[in-house]
Amino acid sequence: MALLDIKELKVHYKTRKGPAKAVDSISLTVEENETVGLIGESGCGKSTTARAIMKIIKEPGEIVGGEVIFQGKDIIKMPDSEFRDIRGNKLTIVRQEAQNALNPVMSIGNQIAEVILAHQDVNKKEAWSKAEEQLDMVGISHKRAKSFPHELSGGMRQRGMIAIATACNPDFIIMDEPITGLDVIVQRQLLTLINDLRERLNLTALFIAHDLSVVSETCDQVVVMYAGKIMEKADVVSIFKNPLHPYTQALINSYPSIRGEKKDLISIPGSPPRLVDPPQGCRFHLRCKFAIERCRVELPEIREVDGHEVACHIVG
Amino acid sequence: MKKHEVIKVENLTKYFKIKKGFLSNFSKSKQEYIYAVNNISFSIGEKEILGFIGESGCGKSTMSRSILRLIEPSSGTISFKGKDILALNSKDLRKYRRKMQMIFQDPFGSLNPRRTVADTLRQTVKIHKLAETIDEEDKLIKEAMEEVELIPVEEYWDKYPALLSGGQQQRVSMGRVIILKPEFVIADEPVSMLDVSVRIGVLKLILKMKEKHNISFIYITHDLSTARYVCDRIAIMYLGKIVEIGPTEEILANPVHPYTQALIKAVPDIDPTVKVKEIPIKGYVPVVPGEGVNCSFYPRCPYADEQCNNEMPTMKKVGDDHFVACFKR
Repeated sequence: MALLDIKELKVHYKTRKGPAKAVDSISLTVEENETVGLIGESGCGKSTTARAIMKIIKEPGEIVGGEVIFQGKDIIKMPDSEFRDIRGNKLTIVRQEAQNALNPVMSIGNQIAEVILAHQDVNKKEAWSKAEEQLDMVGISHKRAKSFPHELSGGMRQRGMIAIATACNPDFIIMDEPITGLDVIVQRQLLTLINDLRERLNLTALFIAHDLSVVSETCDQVVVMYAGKIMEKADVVSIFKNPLHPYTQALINSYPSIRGEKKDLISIPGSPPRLVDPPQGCRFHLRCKFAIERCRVELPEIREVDGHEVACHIVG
Repeated sequence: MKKHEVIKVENLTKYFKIKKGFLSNFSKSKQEYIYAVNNISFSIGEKEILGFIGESGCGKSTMSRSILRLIEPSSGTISFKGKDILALNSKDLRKYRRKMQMIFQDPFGSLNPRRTVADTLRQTVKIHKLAETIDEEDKLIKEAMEEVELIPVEEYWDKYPALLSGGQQQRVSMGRVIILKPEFVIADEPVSMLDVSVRIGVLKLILKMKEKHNISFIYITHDLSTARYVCDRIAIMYLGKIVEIGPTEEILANPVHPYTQALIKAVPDIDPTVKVKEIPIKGYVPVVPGEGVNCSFYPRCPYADEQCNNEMPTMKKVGDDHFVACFKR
């Protein structure tokens, strides 16, 4: 049984012009000890998906349909009192921009200890020493446990976030753009840490990123989202070596690489659609160079082609 | 020395006072300075794009602002086609500003949200008195919009920035620059806030502007991969200094400075079968007050020795047009 099973999840944001369908009926599963990468451009619904799994969607957003089954239970229907034992404990999140996600008036050690105290049967002293261990594990010296977030660099804050998220030995961890906005060398250090922890703690994770190369280095499976819909799903090697969906192909073709021959890059014309009134038919057809009449009228279902799951009329 | 130098910068330095508390006025501790840009020299030829690459805090933005005199440099010389920019008074400087323009990182933040695309461009036309009649103004605006591919023009003419995508907003900023027919443009991380799918479009536009209007560029970024796509030469900066400069492909293929090597190695690879090796350098970028007496990369460098701690490395030629500041190479 899959550890996390999302079935036809729908999240809408209310706007004056009607609901913006940020996540429009997506289904995906994450097996145990697997890292699934979720990629797409900003506004494609990847962070909203993450927030929906954590049940931290705020007004004007709302989960309007679907199921999120975690360890056999639907957490959407679960009462908050019950879910509180899971969130931050078995199911955790590392959010983008650690400087905003951390509490500015609480030391990093205390923020880790707080999580441990909330979910485990320990006293304050034990929680504090566990917090120090956590800091050592993510590569911040435990001597910095009394530092406040503003005293830490961007990379260290992000390490602190990871320490909080892994404090209670979670079964599932969501990483929402954990290395975005950091410097190249700090990014590399964090990627090394994440890959190291994945092996050491047997983490199951959903890794959200807009950068293809980051996903390529950390994930086993890759899901490509566009305008609230899943376009393609496949294992990491075949999605980069043999992309089937025109959008996945276009993303890869427009990716500048510093290694190998300098290739001519192809930009994707136009820009992503507005989610309030997305185009009829396939969401991508306005920017797709292969689009045919059928793409303009009929929304493609996800089907299996060459071991990929792909939503496109043209493929196969 | 190149034949057609558009910009020549020599020994440019910009330092900032470190602010201390009020009580330090009464103590004997010496005033300290941060050298954000420390003795930088380079030149840019006609139709050349020079990339500046470095981590945040390395001084690349301070440098670009100093070159345009948006902030006053502390010392050094900057010449634009042989004319000393630092000697100009504010009235003459305004004339030169038209030829030296800048594109900023945040496309939305650099546009007035209450002005339509046409109004934004009209503002530029008016300030620089480029046209005499309204019809002439409209013609210039239309040409600029076509140039930056905001087409059909009628569709974008009356749109407010909030209704445009990031890529389109950046195109408006570029239109505002191109309308002045500049000869030199500084692009400060122009695509870092844009989505992957629209980045390439903006980069291609920069290349087109260069070819069509003979514009020289400084392209500032922390992202080597987009720099590779547009830059003829790149300069790697670390703590206010250029540590390596040379042709883009040459530096990517044969990086000489340990910092450049680490930067290139650190970039993740899109090929999932490639395993990137651990980089040898550790720690974070330190904050070092003062002008410095040794190699600023010394504390993090795996090859460092006594000499690096005691002396300041100077630029050495290591290849065709390829220079590096390191003792160990």
